[in-house]
Amino acid sequence: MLVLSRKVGEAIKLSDDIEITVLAVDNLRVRLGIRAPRHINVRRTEIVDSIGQANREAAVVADPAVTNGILTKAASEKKKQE
Amino acid sequence: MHSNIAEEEITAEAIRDKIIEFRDGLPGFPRNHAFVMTQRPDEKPFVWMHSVTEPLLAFALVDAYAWEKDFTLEVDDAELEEMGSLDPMDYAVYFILRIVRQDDRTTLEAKPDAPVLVNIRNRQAKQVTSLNRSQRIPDALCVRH
Repeated sequence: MLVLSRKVGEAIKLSDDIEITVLAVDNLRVRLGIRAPRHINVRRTEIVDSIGQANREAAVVADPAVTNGILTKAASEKKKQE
Repeated sequence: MHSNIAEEEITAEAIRDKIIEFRDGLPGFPRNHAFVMTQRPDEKPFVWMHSVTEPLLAFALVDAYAWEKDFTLEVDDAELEEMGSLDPMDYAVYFILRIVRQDDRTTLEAKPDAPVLVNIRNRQAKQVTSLNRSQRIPDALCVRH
């Protein structure tokens, strides 16, 4: 990991078109301003990791012995609730 | 700027049995970009989403508006722009379900704050983060064996 020291108001560039500026530092919280092209996804790491973990837990083996009938039963149950 | 995708009957026929593409991969499965959605008539509004790259990998999904008729998705316009359309009518919206098997029942658990959007015109897909976290969405359906 590359570690850089920056003061408030200073920035770093990632290639030519992404710039991250330190806007404020308050106790343990750092506010960052990010300029990037619209196609660059900027996400909080913990949210991305949380969604990835939820997806890994949701993955199933596409084997009829495992999947057969479950969504049919779910659809039937859902209809009952309506 | 945000777009509100309100409850609307959006047909997903256009994407059924065709390859949809997650350009950035599915979170947690970065190498899996291509999936196919399949659905038997008696499974509606649930669908299976099968990986093309790993044929044994699949996910159970449900149409978000069928799961909760009052569901409203608020998503950043940039997400929609990236997927090729700002028109909410161009999108099918799904929740990925976690299947939890217990002794006498199976529970399907949804994650409403991270729905999957599929542009039904160009079949671009993306799992997004809902900005509207205040709405109350049921997060589980219990099926007895």
